[in-house]
Amino acid sequence: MSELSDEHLMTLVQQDKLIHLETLFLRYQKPLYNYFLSCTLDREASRDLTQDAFIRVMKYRHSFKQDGVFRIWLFQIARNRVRDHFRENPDIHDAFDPETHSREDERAAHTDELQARETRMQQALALLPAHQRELLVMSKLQGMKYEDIAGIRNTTVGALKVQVHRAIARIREIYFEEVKND
Amino acid sequence: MTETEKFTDADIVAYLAGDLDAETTAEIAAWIGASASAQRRLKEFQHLDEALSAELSREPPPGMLDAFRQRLDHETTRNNRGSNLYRIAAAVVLLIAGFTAGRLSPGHGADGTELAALQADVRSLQQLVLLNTLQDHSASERLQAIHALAESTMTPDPVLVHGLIGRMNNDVNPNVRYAAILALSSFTDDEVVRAQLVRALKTQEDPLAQIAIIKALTDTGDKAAIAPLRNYVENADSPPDVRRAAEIAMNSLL
Repeated sequence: MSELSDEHLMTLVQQDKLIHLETLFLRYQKPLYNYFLSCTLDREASRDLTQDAFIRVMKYRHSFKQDGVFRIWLFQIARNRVRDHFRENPDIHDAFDPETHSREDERAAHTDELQARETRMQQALALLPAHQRELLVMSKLQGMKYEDIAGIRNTTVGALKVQVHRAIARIREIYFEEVKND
Repeated sequence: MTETEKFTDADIVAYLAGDLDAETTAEIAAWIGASASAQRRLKEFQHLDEALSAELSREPPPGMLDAFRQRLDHETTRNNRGSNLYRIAAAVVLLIAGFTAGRLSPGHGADGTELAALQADVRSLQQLVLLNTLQDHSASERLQAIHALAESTMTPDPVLVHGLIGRMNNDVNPNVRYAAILALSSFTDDEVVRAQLVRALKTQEDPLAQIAIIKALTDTGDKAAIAPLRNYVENADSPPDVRRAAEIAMNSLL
């Protein structure tokens, strides 16, 4: 795979050398997919949204600033895409309903500890307020720094750290409450 | 204040993340060392961190890149087709206008000059259509254009060769890139084409494309290919087939 930086590759993409989008896609498909999955809890939709985000990268490539950080720009696009997704499909907010997931997960899991743990984590994430869930997911995605997330969310690093700490503390309460209830 | 209330959960998270100043970090470390309940809370956070990391490390479904390539292909085709159809239409109008003006001119029919000019115009139009197809149509249409060009007897315009080079270097579809390399292999008399093939040898990542370029350059005998070929031979990460092809090519060029 190319050793060029994300930003260098974007400069080439801006020169209509769209082949370099492939390298960027390969680098970011996993964190982006996991981001969308945690937002929508829907694998099929997350697959499409990951591609949509990169189609937007292609369409709006000339709006990427030369001194910008690609990772930040990409996740800003991803956040907007999630918002549009829920605006376009108001009924699928039901996907956040923990009851729905509880039933689905009950069918799928309970066979081993790992699956049970995954199920608990999915339930805990679903119960977390949307803004805290997004924050938590971003802070855990590979390669994401506090500075990046603060840039994406238009806040300071100090304020962001406090928000992340609170979000983790909150999910701990939910997660271990779920364990006690199992 | 009871032992468990001494620090909040958010404090423990900040401690684990290394986000606290040295003094607070030492305070929390001492508290954890002395308190069984603090150690339990710490373990819970570590367990939570593992579970969360596992949850967010799911592999995307297979075939995402291929699906993305298809969508990219579709989008770029849709965006560009309209403007280029306009260019072709304009060229056809100019051709007809030129032909009509020629027929109405006083010297019409005196010799074969007009016919030759018309043939040249038609040839230009053919090349414009091919160039347009190379740039802005679907992957299968781009492939057809490349095959048509490779099989035709006409000498391609430099602009068309440049279009092929563009496909080789930048097309989002690997099959189109490969077909462009094969088509360019027929034009290696052109110094620009040879130089571009040597350059592509350093940038193409698909082993099939790499082998096609190696073969084309071996046939030309161009010694400029030796350095990139040596890289393939000496790089332990080169696919075995590519390394073998590069070795054979290098021996024949040396």
